[in-house]
Amino acid sequence: MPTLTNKFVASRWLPFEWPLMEVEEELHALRTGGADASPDLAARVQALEARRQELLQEIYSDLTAYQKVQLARHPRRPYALDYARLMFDDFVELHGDRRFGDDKAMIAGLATLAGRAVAVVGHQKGRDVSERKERNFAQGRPEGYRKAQRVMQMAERLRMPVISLVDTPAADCLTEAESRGISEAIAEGQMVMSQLRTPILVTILGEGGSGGAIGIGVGDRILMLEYAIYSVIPPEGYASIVWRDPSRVAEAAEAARITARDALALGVVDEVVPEPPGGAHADPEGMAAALKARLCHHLAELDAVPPDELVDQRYAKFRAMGVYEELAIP
Amino acid sequence: MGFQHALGGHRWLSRRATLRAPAEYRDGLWGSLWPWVRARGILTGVSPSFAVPHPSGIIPTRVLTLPSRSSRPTVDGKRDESMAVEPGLLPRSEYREIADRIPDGLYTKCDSPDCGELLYRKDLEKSLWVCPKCGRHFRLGARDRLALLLDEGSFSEFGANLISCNPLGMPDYDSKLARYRKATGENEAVITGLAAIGGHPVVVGITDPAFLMGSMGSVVGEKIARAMERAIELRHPCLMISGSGGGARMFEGILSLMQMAKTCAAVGRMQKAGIFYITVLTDPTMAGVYASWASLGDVVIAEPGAMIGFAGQRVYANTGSGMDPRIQTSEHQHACGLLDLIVPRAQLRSTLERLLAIAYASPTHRK
Ligand SMILES: [Zn+2]
Repeated sequence: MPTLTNKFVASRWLPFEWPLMEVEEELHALRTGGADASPDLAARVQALEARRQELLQEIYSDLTAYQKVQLARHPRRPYALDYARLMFDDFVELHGDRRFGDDKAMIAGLATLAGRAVAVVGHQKGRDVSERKERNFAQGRPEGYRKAQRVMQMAERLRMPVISLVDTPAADCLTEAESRGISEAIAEGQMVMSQLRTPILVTILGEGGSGGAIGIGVGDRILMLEYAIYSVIPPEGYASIVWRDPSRVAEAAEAARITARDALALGVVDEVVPEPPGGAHADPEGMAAALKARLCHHLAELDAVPPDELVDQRYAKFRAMGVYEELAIP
Repeated sequence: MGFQHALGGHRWLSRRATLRAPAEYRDGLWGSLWPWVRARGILTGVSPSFAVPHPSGIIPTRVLTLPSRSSRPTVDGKRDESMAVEPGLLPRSEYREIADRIPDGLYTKCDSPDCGELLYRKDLEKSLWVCPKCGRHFRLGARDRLALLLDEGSFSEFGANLISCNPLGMPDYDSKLARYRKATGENEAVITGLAAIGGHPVVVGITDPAFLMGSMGSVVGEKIARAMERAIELRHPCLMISGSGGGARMFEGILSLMQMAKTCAAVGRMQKAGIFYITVLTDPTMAGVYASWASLGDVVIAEPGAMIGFAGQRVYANTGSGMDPRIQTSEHQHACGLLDLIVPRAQLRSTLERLLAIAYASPTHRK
């Protein structure tokens, strides 16, 4: 498995990053001595570095919705376990729903965040081909959602806040998942989270894919990384349903309003956590530190709220979501 | 309870299926055409008309004429003008969707692919739109179903004044809403209100597959949450009937996903308050609706043969993997322990009545 920081070797450049790739390649060649050690080497490196920064700013200051989709799904994007490693002092993963089995698409565990105990749930994608398969492409199965519920209910008993890390294209919908009640597991998850008498912080890390996401997506604060997406239907599905043309995916990404900025404008998330230029994978440590700081900030705020009030506020928060017109009854 | 009583005698629902002298057709001209009709599966068009005034008085009475399945001439050679639908009102596929809720021919073909029996409409009415041969439960419109289940004259609607907006500015959404409002006579895909079954007061909500596949947008989520809050306030049991093949409403984007959380939270409140919650899953109940309020009933009931599941066939088509349609049925979900009861349509009302009687014998409800 390539390490996250070994950027050049493991990189997969997105099409809109190609100008950047050329500069990086040139830089790499200079640094590894591919070119002659000429006296102006240092100056050329410096110029290229400057050009690289310029390009980064230029490309990342104005991304289209579909470019954000590509970043949200970037194979090198940090996943839930990366954040668990980078944000928590300690993290002990727990397994199994005590009913059927253990779903590797969903992680759950106990951790300490800046010295305080928290429970963690989240979707987990795989880094390479075999791990992706093992993780079921982060498509949670019923036992995964039930494992998350078990750990969250434990957190309530132990008065620990819950940190939920959402990153799934969708929930598993094949025969086995259907037969074990994927719908019921997702519905139950939302209901359990709406009633939990302990603070819940939800962060959309990458893909917030419809029912799969909301199944662990109810909380007191909903955070979203800058290039994450949150959608009821993936842009591919939107394009094929609305235009019957899956190739219009870029257009669909725009129309379906799935970016963090859209979610914030629609009142579905409370805060967008900025990502470094180049996306979260360009600086996983920096990203994790930034997210950790925001989580700690919100936890401190929620600590002051008594549990009953917390549940009422959470109910009111989701109760207020939606846009409709109410005609006066004559 | 006879079907005529249920459909014809309701206070605000008047549905008149005007059948023209069926005996004549059987014996005279119709009789001679029978083998040909049977072979070609041609259906004649006699259209029921709906007159659905809203109790709130906000929406002017609209008379809905169901479009016919076929624009062919009727048996006597004339086109039935009562079936005329405003041109361009609905795209072709949607005509079918609405026409499918109630077959409008004198004879109709059972829509079960394994059966295809040609059924006499009057027999179908008597059997509550259940195929006498194979037991196929035809889809019913929401008002028809309410008329079938609730005490006559007991229903008072609330929430009809909630109207969908187009918060994401989706290009087709406004026109789609307008078309479905016109075609169904309803403002939205859900009807909520207060009613009684066997004298037991109950807060009821029902989604209608004829309105944008019963999909859940902001209004549907809000009306359901309000109904549940009303049930808590009145300490009445809550009955939710789903006919939602569409799940979350794509046109409202992420806001529709939040309606799942909203309704689940409202169910959570009912559970905390000790309010008895029954859900009835009819054909179809899918995706965002099944993955929220529909599967959270204290008692979950389904009609036989209903399509019930998480992901629609379109999802499987996109992913390239198939789904055995037998998996997404009442029977399979029941066998997997995900539903309490599969109740044929004729026994649904009495089953609900029994459950409500038990609920009212508990200390948490009051009439
Ligand atoms: Zn049949």
